[in-house]
Formats: sequence, structure tokens, C-alpha cells
Amino acid sequence: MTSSNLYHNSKAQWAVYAVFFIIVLAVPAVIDDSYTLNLLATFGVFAMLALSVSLVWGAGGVLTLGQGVPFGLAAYCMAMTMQMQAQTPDSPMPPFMANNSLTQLPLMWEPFKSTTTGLLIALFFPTVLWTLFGGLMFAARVHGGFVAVMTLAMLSAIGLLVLDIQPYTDGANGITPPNALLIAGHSIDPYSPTAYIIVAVALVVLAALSKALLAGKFGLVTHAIRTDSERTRFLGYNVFLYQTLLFGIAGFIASIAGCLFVMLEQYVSPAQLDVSFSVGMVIWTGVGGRASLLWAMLGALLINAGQTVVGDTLLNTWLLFLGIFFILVVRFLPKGLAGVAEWLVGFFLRRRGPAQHQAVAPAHEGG
Amino acid sequence: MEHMIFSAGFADALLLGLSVASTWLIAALGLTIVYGTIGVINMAHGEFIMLGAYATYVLESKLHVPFLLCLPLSFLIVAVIGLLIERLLIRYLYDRPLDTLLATWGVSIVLIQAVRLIFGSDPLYLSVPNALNQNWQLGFFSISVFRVFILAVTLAVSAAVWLFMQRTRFGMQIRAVTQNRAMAASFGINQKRVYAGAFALGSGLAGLAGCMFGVLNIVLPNMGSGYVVQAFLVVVSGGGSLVGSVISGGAVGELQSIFSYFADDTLALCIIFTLIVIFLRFRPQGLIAPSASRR
Amino acid sequence: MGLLKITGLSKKYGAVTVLDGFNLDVTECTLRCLLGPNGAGKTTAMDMITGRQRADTGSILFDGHEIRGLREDKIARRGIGRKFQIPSVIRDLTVQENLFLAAADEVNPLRNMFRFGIGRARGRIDYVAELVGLKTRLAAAAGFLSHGETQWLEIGIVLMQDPKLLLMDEPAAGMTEHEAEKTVEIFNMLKKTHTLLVVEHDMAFVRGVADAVTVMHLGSVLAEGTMAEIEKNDEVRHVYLGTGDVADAA
Repeated sequence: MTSSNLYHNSKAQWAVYAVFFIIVLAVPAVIDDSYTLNLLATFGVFAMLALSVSLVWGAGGVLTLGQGVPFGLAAYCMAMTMQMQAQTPDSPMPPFMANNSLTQLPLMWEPFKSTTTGLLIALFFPTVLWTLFGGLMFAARVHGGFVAVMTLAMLSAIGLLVLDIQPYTDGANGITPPNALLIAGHSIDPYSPTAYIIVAVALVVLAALSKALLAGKFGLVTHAIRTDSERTRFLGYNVFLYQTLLFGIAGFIASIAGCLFVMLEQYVSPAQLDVSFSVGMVIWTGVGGRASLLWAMLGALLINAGQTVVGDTLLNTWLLFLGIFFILVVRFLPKGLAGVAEWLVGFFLRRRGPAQHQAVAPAHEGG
Repeated sequence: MEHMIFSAGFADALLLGLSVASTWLIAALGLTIVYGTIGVINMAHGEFIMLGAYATYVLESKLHVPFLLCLPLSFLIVAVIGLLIERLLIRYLYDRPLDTLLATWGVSIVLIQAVRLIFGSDPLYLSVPNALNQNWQLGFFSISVFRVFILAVTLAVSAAVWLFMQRTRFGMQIRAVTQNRAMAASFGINQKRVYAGAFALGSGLAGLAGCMFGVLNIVLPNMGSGYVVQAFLVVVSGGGSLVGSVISGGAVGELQSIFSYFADDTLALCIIFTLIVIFLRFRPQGLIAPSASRR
Repeated sequence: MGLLKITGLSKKYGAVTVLDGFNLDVTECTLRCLLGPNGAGKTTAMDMITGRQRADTGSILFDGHEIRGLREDKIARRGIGRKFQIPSVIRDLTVQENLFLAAADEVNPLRNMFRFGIGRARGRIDYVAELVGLKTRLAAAAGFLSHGETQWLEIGIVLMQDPKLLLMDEPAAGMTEHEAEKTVEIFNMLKKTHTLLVVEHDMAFVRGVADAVTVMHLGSVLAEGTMAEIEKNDEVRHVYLGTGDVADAA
């Protein structure tokens, strides 16, 4: 495809992605501080969430404010699995249950006795639930702000539910598995390079697959649905299937992120199901650039890195400026930082060579 | 005897439901104007409620204004803040509804953090006249006077808004713009002014609600975040019209009170949210949609 | 028995009747024009054939099967393509991408996840682009096309679908005389292999392409016949402008 701006060249885009992937994977070779490594891995999880939001919102045109649902549910399932790894026949029940006057392990905890079953549930139960929920909405042909409000309501409902069934979830305290994740006899220390590499590989694979997904015919149809869903129906495409599938894929990515989050943090609480956390994901994505998977991930990395540098003492001031910055981005930079990058690439190339002033098209997916 | 206690308790729940309904409705009233008529998904609505509560706090404790006077004053103060935000930000985004949602979310973060930096994160309390601070005892029932007061104010304000929309020139202009922008413009209606006015009106109503919620609960910088979801569900399931919001607010309040009677408050809210999501699946346009060509 | 057979189609919105016992029979490999003043129900009829609106009563048989009540994409898959009155190309996609999108030979989202590049649609895209004169514009974004070119792309998109029945809502609107003539040429070629139903106000255009004409009025059929017959019909003249001529009124 010919294009005046290298930014839209698909080969150039893949090259930039490859550089990003190499940097992400090479981090443990440079950094050996285990605390930093764990922190960066957590950022990787957040980047995964931004990736999933970018798929649904940037590519699919459907703003989701409830991406915390698959993330949080998967995180809870993972925490339950890890918690059960610490239980023995002598103490078959997590300690908090006794404090909530339970006398035996509740039925909903039984499947998590097996690590394999627990992991499968953690990955697929939230995904299936989220896909069904998406299907419910898309079958009603709701769109725009409506989906945002519905996903928000769903998130609130599930957040409340988790808080409410305290004997099973330990309510506001959340679940804190005592030991690191144990897989096939290996303990995965959250602060080890192994844990980082697991997250990094997952991020790279998911990002590459997502990018490929949007580069093919599926991406083309998705683009058409985002622009004019009605027209796309008259071409013979089942818009409902495409939307639901994309929503489900994003839910699956968020579920993986949820599992990895608990692997790294050994902790889950209703904060992961909080509205502000899900909106946070949208803010990372929006600031980075909703239409670009790479920039959405970079947005998550930049904002979270910034938040860590600023630290807890100045957190309120930081959030104030983040809010102002976000407003400015929405008002003046709807494409986010990606828009700046696009402009810069175009600007410098035009200075180097004669401009092609012919009207030429951008590739159908962003950078 | 047991049966009697049950039915008395249940009747109590129904009565309490009226009160719960009035809080849902008053929280949603401003959003009904803003979303229902000019189509702005204002995510900072909860923070306007919060501002109303803080405005009341400042008026009461620093300027010693009596509570009853705080009601109209908090309306005015938040209406002015709303107008400012509309002029500075929202008006540039009318043709980008999803971006309005995001921008107003940014506004809500800024408002929360600004209030936190000014007033701190500790809870504040509002005081009300003694007459409102009592309980009425009617046979089996006991109800706080302040909850009756909220119900009365909600009904009065809803009626006032309805009359305003139906009878005043400005109200008619708002309705005209809602139904057909182009037509309204050709009749010489200044659309910009109508939008700004409607946004200010909606913000002011949120401020009024905040004045009362501050008494009902404690005043905190993040007290508004819970209200925005509730208010939205009332407005959206009502269909965006005033009558729709009154009906859905009433229904949701009663249902919540009944569910709370059988389960507990949190679970009741969870069930309500789920029911609304299912309801909207089958009736995305809500109960009573205004005869608008907007969607 | 025609390819498309509509009987007794009715639709009411509240007290307003938009279609009132509408009948239509389109024979295979012919071009039928749908005429009528504004509000006669032409676009509504198109909407119902393509599933965009639901009729209250009546039947729409396509190829001998009832399609009333089917979803838009299913109707499209049965072989009905539609060009809209308001151009609805995807503006930020290129001409080529728009055409490739319309080549909906595979609509399964799972299979489309693994399809990259244009592949076997190449030949057809080139053929259609050549036909509608956009061969040199394949790499241009659809949003940059002129009005006439956009109309051509619309027609190209419908051709890519290769439907048995083509519905064309005002295909010549906004075209220059030269462009309209070329459209006439293409339509006359198309009707050897396809069936077309065309809504058009340009009477010269209708004379150039129509095998048969149906005149609608107040949601039902006022007159049917060849263009020559219709032009002599008093009732049609009356509806169109008191006593005026069909061509002038349109």
C-alpha cells in the first residue's frame, strides 16, 4: 500500500512493534533488581489491559468501562487457586472462612483444589461470562455511550456481589494467598526473572496476535462496523458475531492479565473490580492512543511509571494533573500521543523528501 | 402474630422504598435534563452532587447560613460551576458523545482531587434544624423526618422542573432543540444558549441533591462516584424523559427496599443493577423515550 | 414467476400509513424502475426488502423463499445487494479496501481472522474497478473521491457482492450527464445477467434503462407498465402535478 506517511506503512509498523517486543523481552538482562522487575512485570499486566481496551474501543468503536470484570473475576479465581495450594488435609479451609463462621469449605471453592481446574476456570469462566454479556448487548444493537453505561452497571453489580459474599471472598479484605504460585512442582517467585519473562512473553504474544487480527479481513470488517455498522450488515456480515467475538477476545486478554496480576502480587481485593480502576484502563488507552495497540500499551506503561515515580505522598496532586492532562488529550488530541507520533513522523519525512500531495489513504489500522 | 410482624415490616419496607425512590430520583433529576435533552453523558454528575454537599458545608460552617437557605444556594453555586465547565469544555464536544463521556470523567477526577486538596480526605458533617432531625412514630412505623423532607423536596422539584419545561419559554426551547435541532435553529432558537442553560440547570439540580445527600450520609470527596452509576441507570431505563425518570426512579427505589427486606442492602443493589441490564437488553430505548430524532 | 414477488406489504407508524397493500413482481434479468413522488414509499419498500425495516403484514418472496423478517445480513447473503441514496462508503478506507470488504465471499468471523491480503478477490476487484472507472483510484481513500466517483464506488460495492437482485436507490443522483450515460450503459449490460430494481427521479435515465416501471403513490401501486404506457397514463400525470408531465414533475 502506498502512503505518504511511513507511520501508516504496515511493514514499518511491524518493525516498530518488533523493537518494542525485543525491549520488553530484554529487560531482565539489564535489570536485576527484583523489586523493579516485579514492578515492571505489573506494568506489563496493565499494558495487557490497555491492549484489550484498545481492541474493543479503538478498533471496535465500543467504549467499555467494565474491562475490570473479566480482569477482576480471573484475578479472584487465580487467588482462590493459589490459596487452595496452601491448604492441607489438616487445614482444608482458608483461615478467613473460620473467622466468618464457616465450618467447611464452600462448594464454589471445591474446584480450586486442583490447580489445573482452577487455572482453566480463571481463564475461561470470566471470558465466557463477558462474551455472553457482550452478546446480550450487541444483540440489542446498543452502541456508543449505552455500552459504556451497561458495562459500568455490570462492573458495579459484580463488585458489590464480591463485597457482599464476605464468607466466600473475605469481602473488602480480599484474598492474600500465603505462597507463590506452584506449577508442576515449580514455585514461581513473583520477584524472579521467570515471573517477568512469563508476563513479557504473554504480552508480546497477545500483542502480536492482536495486531495480526486487525491486519486481516477480520480487522477490515471491524473497521467497517466501527464506521458504519448498518452498511456492513447490508454487505452480508453478521455484525453481532464480529462485535461479540472481539469483545470476547478482549475479555480473554483481560482474564490472562487478571491471572498474571495475582501471580505477581499474591493479592486480590475488590479494588480490582473498582470503577476507578476500569476507568483508569480507558485513560491509559486514551492518552496513549485508542486506535493504536502499541500506543495504548505505551500509555499504560508511561502513566503507571509516572505514578510510581511521583509516589504515594504526592498521589493526589498527580491524579489532579492526570485528570487535567486527560481532559486536554480528549479535547485537543483525540488520537492521543499516537497522534503526535503520527504527525512527527509525517513532518520529518516531508522535510527530508518532496511531499506527495496526492490524496492517499492511511492503512486501515493505526500504528 | 408473626404474620402481623412480617406484614408490618414489609409495609415499613414499602414506605422506606418511597424514601429510597426519592433519593434515586433526586440524584437522577439533573442527569435527566443533561442526558435526556441534550444527550451529554455527564460522568461528573456524581461530583456535582459532591460539590453541592461541600458548598452546603462551607455555607453552613463558615458563613452560618441556615440549612433551608443552603438548598437554593447550593443549586446556584453548582449551576454556575456547571455553566463554566460547559463553556470551557463540553461545548466543543457536542458532536463527539463518547469523548464527552471521557472528558467529563476527567472533570470528575479533577473535581475530586481539587476538593481533596482543599478540604482534605476526612469526612465532614452537615447539620440540619432540629425539626428535621427527629423521627415520627406512626403506630408500627417509625420514619425520620428528614427522609420525609427529601421526599417532599424531590416531589416539589420534579413538579417545578416539569412546569419549567412545559410552561416557560426556555423550557419549550429546550424541548424544541431536543426534538429537532435543525428545525429549532430555523425558528431562531439559539442552540448554544439552550445547551448551556440546560447543562447549568442539570448541574444545579445535582447540587441541590448533594445538599441533602450530605445530610443523609457523610461528606467525602469521593461520595459522588456511587451516585453516577445509579443516576445513569435511572435515566437510561426511564428513557431520558422526566416522566420516565420519575417512574423508573420510583420502581427502582421500591424494588431496592423490598430486596433489602429479604436480603441485605448490597445484594439488593447488585440485583437491581443486574435487573436493569436485563431490562435494557429488551428495551434499549427505556420506558418512555422522548419523541426525539436524536438517536 | 418473478425473482422477487411482493404481495400485500403494509406498514404503519402510529396513524401514518407508509405502505398500504403494496404489490410488486420483478422478473428475472429485467430492470424495473420504481417511481413516485416523495413520501410514496419507495425507500420504505427498499428498506423492507433488505430487512432494514419490518413490515406489519404481507409477504416478500425472493427466489421462491419468504425473506420477510430475516436479518439484514441474511437477506444480503441470499443475493440482494443495495446501493444507498446517501453515499455510505467507508471514507477512511481506500477504494480497494472498500471493494474488498464488499467481496463478502467469506463472512465467518473465525475464518476471516486468518485471511490476510486480498487473495482470490484480486481478479474481481480489478474487473469491477475497471467497470466503474476507478482502476487508477484503487489506493485513494474513499473520503477523497469526488461526488461522482463516490457514486461509482457505491455501485462498485454492490457489484462486488455479485447479487442476483440489485437495489439501486437514486444511482444517478448528482452525476454529470456523461456519467449518467455511462451508468445507463453499465445497467443495460448488467440486466443481461442480473435483476435490477431502481429508484430514480431522472426521467431520461429511466427511459434509458427501464424494461418496466412501477409508479407508487401513498404506499401502494398506482400504475404499472412500460415507460411509454406510464407516460400516457392520466392518473399518473394527475398525481405528479395536477396535469403536468411526468418528466417535468420529477
